Amino acid sequence: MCLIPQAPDAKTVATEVPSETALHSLAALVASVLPQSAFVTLSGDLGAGKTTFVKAVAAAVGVHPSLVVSPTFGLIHLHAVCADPLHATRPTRIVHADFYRLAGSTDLAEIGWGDAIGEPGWVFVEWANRIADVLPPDRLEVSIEVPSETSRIFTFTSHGHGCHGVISAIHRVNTL
Amino acid sequence: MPLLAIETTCDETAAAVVTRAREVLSSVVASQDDLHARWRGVVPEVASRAHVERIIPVIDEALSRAGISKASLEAVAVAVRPGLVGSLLVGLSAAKGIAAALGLPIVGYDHIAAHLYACRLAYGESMHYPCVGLVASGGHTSLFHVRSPLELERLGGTIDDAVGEAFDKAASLLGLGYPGGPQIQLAAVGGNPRAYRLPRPLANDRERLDFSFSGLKTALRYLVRPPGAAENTPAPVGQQRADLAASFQQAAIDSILAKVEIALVRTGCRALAIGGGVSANALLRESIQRLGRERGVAVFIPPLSLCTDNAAMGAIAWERLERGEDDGLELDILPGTDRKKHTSKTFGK
Repeated sequence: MCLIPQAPDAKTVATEVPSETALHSLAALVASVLPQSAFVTLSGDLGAGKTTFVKAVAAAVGVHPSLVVSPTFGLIHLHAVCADPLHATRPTRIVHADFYRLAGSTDLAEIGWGDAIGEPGWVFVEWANRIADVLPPDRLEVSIEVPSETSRIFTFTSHGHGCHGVISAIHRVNTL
Repeated sequence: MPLLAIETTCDETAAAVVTRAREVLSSVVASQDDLHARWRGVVPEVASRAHVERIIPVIDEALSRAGISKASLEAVAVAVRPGLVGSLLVGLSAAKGIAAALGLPIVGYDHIAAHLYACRLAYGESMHYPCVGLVASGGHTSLFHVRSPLELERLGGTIDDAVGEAFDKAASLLGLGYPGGPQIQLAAVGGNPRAYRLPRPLANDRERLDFSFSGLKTALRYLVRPPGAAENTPAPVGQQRADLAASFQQAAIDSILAKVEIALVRTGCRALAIGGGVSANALLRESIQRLGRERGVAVFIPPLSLCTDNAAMGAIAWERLERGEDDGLELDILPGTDRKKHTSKTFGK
């Protein structure tokens, strides 16, 4: 279910996540190769695990999991990432947004979106199809499907070149 | 003389007039029926512009219903946290404008603490402190050790979805409308709360006072639409829907009750107060009352009108005004929730 048109240079990779442990491994891998500034959209049904994935990626850079909660109500959550000299490429902050309640991209100015994404960092957006017309050309699209109660299929598509590294990294792990 | 309280933390634009004796002279909430006619039933959500359009008429309406003029106000109170920056700023700017024009003290208050203060409004001096406070709403599900109206220690909270949000999403899965709380409650009438086995995440973890509702939502999703089923699988109807709604509601309320009970034991409090929109849920109210009777704990539950977002609970500002406090025009918003006890912090100030 791809609601956002794909760019011609888009690269895609899918991977199965059969357990919570596998989810944390995948999240750690994504966190290690995601550029210091990145825009990530998440799609998938209610209960597919969009917030859970963001929680896992944020945990991989040291954000306490209890802080990363569903942004459906608050719309935009911001998390500071503590600097770590061993991981110089970590982002300094994470923006986690959920646009389920928005009517369209014209609402963005009203909720302070420009301010929220004005600084470098990782931006995760759930229900990004609500603002499809203003998505940056360079972004990572993550779609989550639910084949069974205990597993998930994650499909990563990089639009633009910025996130190609994520695709290659997952591809390498898939072919191990 | 009374104070004017202003509340713009989320979707509701609200104003109220409350006397020093904590008597609510008026309480107006724009997104509820009060002012629907004025906006022909169209209530824009989330936009700070919507607050801008409504704030002055809502304040005027509150003053007029209270039967007083601005000149007879003694102070202005405004919710400054938590909430969206833009929305909070609208309320703050209106409050500052009135305070500056009339030369009145201005006091900022915490929306969450105010939700629990609704019990003090409803029960007056018979409200007990210290108590365990539960705030359950669309955006919050947290437990506090409430030592006094202004001293709250956070004991735990949701690690994923708020319970009200879980109700909204469950209602959506069951093909019911918004807001989900009242819809699920209605659909659950005649349903068997034990028809389906649904998880009570974290309920048995006695070490933590945190909640988790995301797994419950996902489990309901599997019942409604098993993995691999077509996307257009019709939502359940009739008895099946009633049973699903009842089972979901029971699981959500059980999860809350389990933690409330642990919080009572851990703090040794002999009183329990609840607040927030989900405290309007009849099963939660009954269950909390029963828990109070069983444990010999005094229970404080606000009337329905004080459960959902409102400005009357801004009466909490009297607690600071009575100490002679005044934030002055330097008062600023604090958008993030206070999570000082955690290792990492949310942004905001």
